[in-house]
Amino acid sequence: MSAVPSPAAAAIPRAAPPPVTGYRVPSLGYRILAGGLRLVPLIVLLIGLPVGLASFLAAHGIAPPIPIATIELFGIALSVLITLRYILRPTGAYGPLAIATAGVGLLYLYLLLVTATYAIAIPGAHVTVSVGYERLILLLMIGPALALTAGVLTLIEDVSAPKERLPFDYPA
Amino acid sequence: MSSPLAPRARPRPPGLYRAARALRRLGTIALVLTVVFVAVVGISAVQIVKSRPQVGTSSIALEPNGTVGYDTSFSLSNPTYFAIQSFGLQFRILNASGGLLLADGTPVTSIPAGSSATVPVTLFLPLSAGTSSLLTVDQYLDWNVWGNATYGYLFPVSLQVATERAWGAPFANLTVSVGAPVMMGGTVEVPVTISFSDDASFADVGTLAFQVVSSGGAVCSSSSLVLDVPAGSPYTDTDDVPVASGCNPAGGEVQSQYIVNGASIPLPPEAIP
Repeated sequence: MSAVPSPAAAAIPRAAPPPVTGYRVPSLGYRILAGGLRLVPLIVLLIGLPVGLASFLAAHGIAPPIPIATIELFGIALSVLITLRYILRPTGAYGPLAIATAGVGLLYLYLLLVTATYAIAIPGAHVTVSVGYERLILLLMIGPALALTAGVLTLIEDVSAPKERLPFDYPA
Repeated sequence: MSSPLAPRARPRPPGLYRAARALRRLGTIALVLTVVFVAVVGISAVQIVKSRPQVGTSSIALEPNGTVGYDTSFSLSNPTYFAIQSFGLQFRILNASGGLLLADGTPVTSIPAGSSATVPVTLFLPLSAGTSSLLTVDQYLDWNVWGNATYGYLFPVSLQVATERAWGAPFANLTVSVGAPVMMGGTVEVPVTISFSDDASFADVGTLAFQVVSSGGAVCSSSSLVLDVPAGSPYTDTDDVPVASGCNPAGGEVQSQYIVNGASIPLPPEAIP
């Protein structure tokens, strides 16, 4: 015996869920403050630790694989780009900034890739240790490559449907 | 059946948004996994260094094939979760005059995780290369040893050790001098004095055969001496050998061979004034 729907229920039309239109984008000031706070660990990770390690090696007579100035330059560039990407995420600049960040990251890794065999001559010991890390760099390049693709997709989305992603990036 | 009072379903994000988000997440996961893997590999590599790879006892001897044989072994413990792949040792040895004595290596092997391996090392060094003979000249040999392996699937590692090792010649400063012929009971004899120092780490036990050869190439006389010279000892002996009639050793040379283990190893000829 089949159930008979009540007249009231039968009267309500079935429809797709309504699109989310409400979202709450943090203020520019808040984003600048939060971005500034995020800058601190970024500087430690991308500049402080690598430069400290390279300086430690140089102080012990072991040349780092790439110049310390290059490490500083890319560290600063990546930190600034990542922070700007965060601050400008609600805007149409997010996609290009995501692409730029991933591109700089890939370039940084490429520089490491072309010098991917690192030989350390231990002073006074007639011993040289060489370590190749080409495969490691290639693995590390997967992340920025995916991020680059994601940035392109976001750019396409922002161009074709501006602000479409905001309800999902900043749900109310 | 959904009720109008149930919470509204969260709408599905657009396709491009979902694709971009998935790619970003995949990238982050790949980065985190790589960093964790590298950290584990690094910690494991320290365990290998701490396990103290060891070089076994070595022995050096003159071989029947006319070379210097060097035998030793290399033991490596791998108490980690990663195999040591493509492990091999390469040797390049130069003598004092820069002549290449050896460029050889051990077969490539793999050391599985949680196991140990002992790699036998057998090297055969030719007695001479260039102008410097290992038989008669004490010298320093340039040893370059490379240990190559791949660890953690990602990292090819090479350790090069360059050393100078003293070589003591088994017939160091060999001199063979021929004295003036003397008449002894109707035959002409010449005194042949042989002297050297066994500076090697092994004894000279065998026979030293020699021939006095004229400048025209004719063998005037030949004889042999039984040797039992301990390592690090000098040796001098004189043997009066008869000379074939009509053979004049002046201007010729003394050719000698060290006969050991059935092999005849020629020594550098000595000119007769």
